[in-house]
Amino acid sequence: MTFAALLTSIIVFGIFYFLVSDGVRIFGKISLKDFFLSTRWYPTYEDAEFGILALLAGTLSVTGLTLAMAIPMGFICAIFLAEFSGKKSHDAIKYIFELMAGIPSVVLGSFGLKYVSRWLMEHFPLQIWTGLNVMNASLMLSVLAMPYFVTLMEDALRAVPIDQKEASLALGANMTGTIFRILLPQARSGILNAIILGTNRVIGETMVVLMIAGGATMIPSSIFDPVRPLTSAIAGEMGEVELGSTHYFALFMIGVVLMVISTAFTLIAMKLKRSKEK
Amino acid sequence: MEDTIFAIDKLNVFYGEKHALKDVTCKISRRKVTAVVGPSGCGKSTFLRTLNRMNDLIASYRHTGSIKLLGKETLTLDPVTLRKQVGMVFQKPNPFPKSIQDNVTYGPRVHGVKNRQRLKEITERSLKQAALWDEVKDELKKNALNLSGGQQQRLCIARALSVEPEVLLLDEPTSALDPIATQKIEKLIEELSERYTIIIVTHNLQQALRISDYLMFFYVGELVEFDATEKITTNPSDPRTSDYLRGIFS
Amino acid sequence: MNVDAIVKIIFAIVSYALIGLILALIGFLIINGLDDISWEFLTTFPSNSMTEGGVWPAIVGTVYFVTVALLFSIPVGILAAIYLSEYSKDTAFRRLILAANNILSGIPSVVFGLFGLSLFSITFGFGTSVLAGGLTLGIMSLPYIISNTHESLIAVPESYREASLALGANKAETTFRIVLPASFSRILTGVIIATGRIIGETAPILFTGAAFYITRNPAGPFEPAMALPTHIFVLSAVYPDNVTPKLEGSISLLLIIVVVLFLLVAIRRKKEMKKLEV
Repeated sequence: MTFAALLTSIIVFGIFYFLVSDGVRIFGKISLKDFFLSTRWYPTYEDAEFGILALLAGTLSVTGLTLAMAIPMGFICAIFLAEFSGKKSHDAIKYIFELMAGIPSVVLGSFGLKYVSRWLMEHFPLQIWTGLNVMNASLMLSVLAMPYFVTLMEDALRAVPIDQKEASLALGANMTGTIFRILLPQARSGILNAIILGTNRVIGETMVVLMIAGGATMIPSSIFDPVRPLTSAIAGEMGEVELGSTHYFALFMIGVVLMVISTAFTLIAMKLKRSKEK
Repeated sequence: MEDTIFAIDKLNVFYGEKHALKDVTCKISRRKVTAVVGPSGCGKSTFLRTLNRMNDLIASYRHTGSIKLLGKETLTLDPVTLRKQVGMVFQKPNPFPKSIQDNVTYGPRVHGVKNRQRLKEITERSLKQAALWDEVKDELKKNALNLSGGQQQRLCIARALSVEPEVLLLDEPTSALDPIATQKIEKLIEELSERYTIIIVTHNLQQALRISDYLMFFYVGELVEFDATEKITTNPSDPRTSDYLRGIFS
Repeated sequence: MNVDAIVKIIFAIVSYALIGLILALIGFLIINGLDDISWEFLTTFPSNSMTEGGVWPAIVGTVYFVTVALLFSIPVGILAAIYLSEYSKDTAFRRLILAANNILSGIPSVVFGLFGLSLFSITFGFGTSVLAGGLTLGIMSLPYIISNTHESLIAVPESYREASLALGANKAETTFRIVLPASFSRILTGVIIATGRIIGETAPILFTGAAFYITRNPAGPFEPAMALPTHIFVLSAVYPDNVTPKLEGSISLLLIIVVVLFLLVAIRRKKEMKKLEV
């Protein structure tokens, strides 16, 4: 039984080990600086280059836009659920959000591919040169991310002791003022936790970005540019890569980067939770 | 002849199916201390919370009847305005996790006071009225949660007073405090009653007898007896009241 | 006009609009593919470059993958959770396990894919197989099963344990005969949720177990299999322009399964709530 529990840690370290052992071999062929700072990702060229900066920019841009859309929306829904909605509508809405979280990412990717991209190209007021871009990916990613924000933020609001709400109302403050001046500040750490966990989820998403972020290895200059985030680079190229080739190692190294990022996020969230409990 | 501040007529309160208050009719006098007593579950907290419409927060709450504050019907009034006139202090001290000063100025600010000088004056006045000024006047920026239980409760009183209500509702304000802090607050209540109407719910009969001018005795949702404290204690009209006074009920 | 009323209305509109959009999305995707779902669709192999035929091998493959995954994660997860809730003290070891579990739950799905490839396919030599893919999926579902089981176990009242021990039973007997059965219902709900999550996962099995097209179902766990999510991916990516009917049907099918699983969970939860109220 102890072993079963130990297994989770073994797995975590195992992942690190396997990824790193294959990943670091890339640094035999290319320098650290080139890998992280170059935007030239041309793994299939004769004279292959493996700079992941453009890929990083892809991840950042998609994540950034998704957060910009999903966090405010999630915030509003969370407040509505926590303070304004009646029991029946509350349960119904919550249920739909849970359902939302369960939609397979490949389905969202397919929808974005077939419908959203066409809509963006044909019916959107601006001239766009491809429907597979940061915007498309972010829209679909918001569907995945919002349930996280809504649920966790609602929990954070409900965790504030009810006597704080009563104290404020008893002084003649209205509900809106009470929410923004008393409840939200006290729910701050829970909300931060929600943001961290939601962001982690978005950064790690693969299929949606693989299918609809565009696949172009470039640093986007607008939200309608195509990009290739880190996760989609791995998923897209792994199929064609030769075992043991430099490209193979490069992809594993990207895996290491992703693992480091997500572990960092998780640990930060854990640390914040612990210091709050003090 | 004393001023009536609350005129309550045939008040009935329901939580869903439960009939919590039955046909309560009475007149509460201004600038006096009225204690509300009775065994657990008799409806005294419900009564108190109906006076400032805090019960509105409970989904299954319904009422019939009327409560008039200085002639105006409160049950149909906007609760926000009502609560400016009728303040409340809770059983467990619940200061905001802010500075002492910010706790006291929260109420006035919410009601539109912006002038910093005025806010300072309000802070000083309220803390003095709550007998807390001398202890904290040099530490107004200190976090309220660092105060002792008794100080926190006096801060909550100061906070309630900062909006200059007519009435102060106290819901078992000393039951979470030690005897010395309790004593300080009881003295405070006597002082405050010169300017404010105090209605205090307490399960501590001795406390009620010590500080109140009037006594309301509730039993299973009914207002059994309501009269001057002296009169009730020497000559209660209802047998249930005398039983309670003799300590038969909890 | 009352500030609270205005805020409430605006927030309500936002929340309901979002919910409405999502329901519309799910509804659209399900209904769109409904006319493709026929007995033939469910039981035949795809043919004619995937433009005809059915998804039988994908259904079978999905079942295989999920089964292997659960066969791994349920026993391991339950044992680990039992360890955490019944046997361990608050030591550094326990905190390590909890941290590892947290970290694991945040790791991107494609990183699991790399790990599965590296460990199961290559090092263990399973190649592209149901076993490799299933185990990878199992590792992904492990953290959730552990947390959910852990929560279910600690929700069992302490008085049950005390009563059992007072009768002379030892810890193991108490755990397996009293505590576990008492929490069984919640654990089961957790398993259903976990199933719902991994059924739609693509990245972990993309290069460890899924085949894009096979002519017969795998004869054993060492062969690759098709799967619904990867099938959806292939159909979307390979035929971007014309909306292949089989694609819509597949999406519809997958979504229906997910929705049904969620309904199941919702019904179970309602029953749990009713039980507590009695």
